[in-house]
Amino acid sequence: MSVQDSTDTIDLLLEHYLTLLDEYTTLRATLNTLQADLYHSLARANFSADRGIRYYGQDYYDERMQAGRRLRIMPAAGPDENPTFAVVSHPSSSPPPPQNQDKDDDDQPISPSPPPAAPTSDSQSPANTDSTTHLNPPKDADADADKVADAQQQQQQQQEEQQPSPPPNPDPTTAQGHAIRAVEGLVPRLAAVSARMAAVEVQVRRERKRRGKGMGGVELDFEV
Amino acid sequence: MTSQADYRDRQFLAVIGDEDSITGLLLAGIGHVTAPPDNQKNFLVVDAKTDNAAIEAAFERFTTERKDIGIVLINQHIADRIRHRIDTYTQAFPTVLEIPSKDHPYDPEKDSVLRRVRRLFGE
Repeated sequence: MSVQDSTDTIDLLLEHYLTLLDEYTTLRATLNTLQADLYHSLARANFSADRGIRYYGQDYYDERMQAGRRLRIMPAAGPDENPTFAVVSHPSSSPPPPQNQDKDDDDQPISPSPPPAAPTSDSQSPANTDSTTHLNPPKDADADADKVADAQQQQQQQQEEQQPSPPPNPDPTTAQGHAIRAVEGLVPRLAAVSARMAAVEVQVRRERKRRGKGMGGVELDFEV
Repeated sequence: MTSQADYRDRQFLAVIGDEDSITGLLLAGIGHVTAPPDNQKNFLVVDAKTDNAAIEAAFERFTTERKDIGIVLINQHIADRIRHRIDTYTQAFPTVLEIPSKDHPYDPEKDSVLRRVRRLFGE
């Protein structure tokens, strides 16, 4: 291969490298925006809690947490290709969707696990659930059902009086959404682009050395 | 050339970061603690009291000792504290990515990937 061929190859590699660099910086900018939104949402969720209580912090990490999203690295398609990255939900330990998180706290480990929130509405209490499942009781049980319902209502009223201002439940849904988008969408792509850039760097170095030998060792090597 | 065995079992992301960064990423469901008696976490919360040796040990653990980590995320301001270790890291797996933190926005001048770019172009 002549010196000119090596120069052309290097030019092509650098052109490809600049394309990758553009993709990297674009992904970086998107990740920065998403991370900023994530921190903002997390701060809002913590701010809405009681003063001095940090609902979403390391004090509430579950020591038994299992990854609900895991990395999958696909092998390279060819010798000149690089493996691709993807973050996918793990079926055996997938975390509950954000909308149902409060209901499933006891069933599945969440990372991090928020503390149990005070009931904020009647519809979340088990007693209320029971009553809604018996909307059409048999006629002979009407009287008993009414008594039970009244008793439950009184009990709920007493509980509400004992807790006149329950702490608001800080909602991490927005922060969680930003984090999922970053982890599933951007981080694997950034890792893949970074790996491809590293591979092109190796090729450029090799081609420069080859060209240097062709020029009789007069090649300027920029590598540090 | 990286063999398939090098990354077949790499199914976790690891994080070295401040509390907010870790918490946010754990909310996404990437946190993992291995079974007892090891109980190895795939994250390290770094605060003002954490010394550089602990950060470097965690980086070493995630990049060299553990074979189930595919990507290591590290806050850029924390990476600065072990910059010599980050810049000399050349393995393909796990991939190391620097991410911004709440108090320290991303600085392209410090990014290890962009430093590689500058070296390639001789700046």
